Amino acid sequence: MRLLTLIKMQLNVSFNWSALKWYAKHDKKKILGGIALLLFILVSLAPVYYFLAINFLETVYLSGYSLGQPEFILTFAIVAVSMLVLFFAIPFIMATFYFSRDLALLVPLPFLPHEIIGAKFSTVVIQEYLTVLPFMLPALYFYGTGQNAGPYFWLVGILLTLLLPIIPLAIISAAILFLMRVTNLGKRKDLLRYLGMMLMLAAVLGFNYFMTKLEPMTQEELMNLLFAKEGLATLISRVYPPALWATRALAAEGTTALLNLAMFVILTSMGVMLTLYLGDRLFYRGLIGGDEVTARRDISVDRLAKAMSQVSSPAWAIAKREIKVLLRTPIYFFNSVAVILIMPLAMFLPLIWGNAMEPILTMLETLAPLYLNLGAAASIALVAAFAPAASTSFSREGKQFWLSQVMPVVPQEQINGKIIYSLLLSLLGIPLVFLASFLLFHWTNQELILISLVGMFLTLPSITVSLLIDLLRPYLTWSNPQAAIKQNFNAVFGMVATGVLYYLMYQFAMYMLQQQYSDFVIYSGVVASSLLLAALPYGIMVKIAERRFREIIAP
Amino acid sequence: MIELAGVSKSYNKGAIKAVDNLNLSVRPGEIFGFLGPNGAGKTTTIKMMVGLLQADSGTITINGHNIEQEPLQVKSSLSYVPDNPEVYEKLSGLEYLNFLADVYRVPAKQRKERMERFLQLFEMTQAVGDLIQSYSHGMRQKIVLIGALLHEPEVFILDEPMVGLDPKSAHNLKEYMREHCDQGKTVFFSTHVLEVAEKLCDRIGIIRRGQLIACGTMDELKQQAQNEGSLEKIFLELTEA
Repeated sequence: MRLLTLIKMQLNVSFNWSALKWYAKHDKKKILGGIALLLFILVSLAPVYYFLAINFLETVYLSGYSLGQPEFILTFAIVAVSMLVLFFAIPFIMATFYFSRDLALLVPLPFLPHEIIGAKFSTVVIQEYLTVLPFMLPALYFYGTGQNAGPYFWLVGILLTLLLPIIPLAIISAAILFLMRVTNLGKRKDLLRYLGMMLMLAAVLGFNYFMTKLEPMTQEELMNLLFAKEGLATLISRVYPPALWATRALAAEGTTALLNLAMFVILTSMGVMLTLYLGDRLFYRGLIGGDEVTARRDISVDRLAKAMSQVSSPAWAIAKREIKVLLRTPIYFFNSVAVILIMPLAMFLPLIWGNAMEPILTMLETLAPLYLNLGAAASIALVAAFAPAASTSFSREGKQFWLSQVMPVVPQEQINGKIIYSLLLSLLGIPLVFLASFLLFHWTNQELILISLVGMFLTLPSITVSLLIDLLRPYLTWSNPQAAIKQNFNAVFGMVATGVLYYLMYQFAMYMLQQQYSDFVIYSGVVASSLLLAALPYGIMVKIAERRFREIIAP
Repeated sequence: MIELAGVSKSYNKGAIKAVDNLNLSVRPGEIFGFLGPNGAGKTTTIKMMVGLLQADSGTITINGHNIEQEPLQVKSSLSYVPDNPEVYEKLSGLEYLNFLADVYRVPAKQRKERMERFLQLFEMTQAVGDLIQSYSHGMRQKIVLIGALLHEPEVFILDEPMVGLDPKSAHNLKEYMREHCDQGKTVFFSTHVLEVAEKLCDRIGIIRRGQLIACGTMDELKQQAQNEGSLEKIFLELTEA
């Protein structure tokens, strides 16, 4: 009963229910605005969702169907969604279990550790449905309608969809509870925790590598699998065996279906029990003392004197502040920095390991260097666009935004500081280009410099438009740093707006290529269009910033 | 100096009048105490004075500059210490102070002298290299105070500054406030500690439901309330009337 009360309260806080009810009663305009915003986001994302999810899943279904294995789509969706949850839940679980501000309130209350973990785990599971449902529902739809499935399929389908995030979340929860317990010692616990999270990410990547390399098959074995009953499902579920049980629970008949359903449900329950058990054993021991201060470091007179005399311009001081806060807040670091480094690796390393890059490379080699260089420059910008560093820059200030409002620095200069910091962050994409050059493309030094420079210019429109969006509607009332990024629509808006700008630039570049202008003209054109598209949001920001800084009410 | 003329602010589309036609003047060299029950409008008034909230009507002038028309000049000449010391937890005390010195453009020599002086005054020299997240409430309050003093503001505005301070730091702060005003500068602060207000302030204003119900020196307040008792008695009589 107490657990239910706690879950209810956690859900209320996570989804702002009480605030929404209050606004519905007292400020209908705000609620209607919120609904309009949500609709706008859904409409903006609809084309991407259609092509990346619906269209793709339909193709997967038809491919499986043509091989006599319609159930393949179910295994595919279950594996994909579980891997997605597994990969992205690491910072999410870490933030919810250990860095939310309500912990100082909850721990002294008469709750057992497993009750707090249980409530927090439940809210994470429910929030993960936003990742699970958009992929699982179309998969169920294509299979269910294609196979004329009966009520059993739909009921079990919904049940399994709801249970789906639990196993990956339990795995990550167990790993994080263990990590925080063993690192809760000594002076360097923050560093140990960063290293631990990096190790976990490496483990997920390593697991991926291990699975792609598992039992290399001969052509004959592969063909046998392709045409065998459940062949494709067996192949892909090697990465995540419970996916095969879930598939059989849905697609098989009679006792086989029920047995597999029971196996999946039992494993899920074991995941929950493991999380609660480890919660009781490890949670407080990893949490309590987490904020403890190590013995004061006596700062030498010389160092103090030197540090006190270092003068920076306000814009540079703001850029430095942003970088320090970002690097020292694990959640910001993982969402803004690690994503830039890890996402491309996570996408391409499996392809390289699985030898799937060969045909892509052969195709790329036929292209003129100009295309490849522009593509590489665009990839720097695209990777940076995925990191919500600029689109949550004002929001992340949260309750400290009052400082920005009272300091005697014109908003334009503050914005410049944020642009400098975002640009510095986007530089992280450049080592990846060097890595790609070393491993795959073997660019000359001149080309590498050119790609890096054009890439930097290309990030500018994304930075300014994302900052503009965040300035227009900063989310300052968050209660834990994870919410500042993950519950912030500005991150999505920033990506959508960036997508629109990059599409315009792509069309412009294609036009110049078709006109067969010289390489110099094309590079210059791309840089000039970047500057122009960056200047537009920047100009709007400068015009409205002073008014916005006065209007925004810091919490 | 501080000048508020006909300042009003309401919330919920006018349903709640937080500040109602407030007229107030604080002269250079004066320590002004701003008193009132919870929810009377003290913090709202202060937030309007420092540019954190926009007044619905009226004008606010600080050192001869209008907050709406010349916000930068106003901000350059004042310092604000909020009631809740929300500062960048992931910066060290020293980084925070340097950041503020940078944005207030305090030259290297002066910043070094002032940092050393105020860190010593508030006994923060040992802790200044640590991250603010490791500070107690009182230490955070002190680091915000030091940051606010680095550019030697003409007008010093503080919202409940004594909360969380240890007795010695509170004493030092009061001494500094007096010293600051003796140089012809202005201090404006809100407080619930009536003894502090009574002993320290040159003039006191009492606000209730957004309206200034009394303002003046202790003697003038006694006359207004027709009560020869302590400030506590006068305050209770005026605010419960």
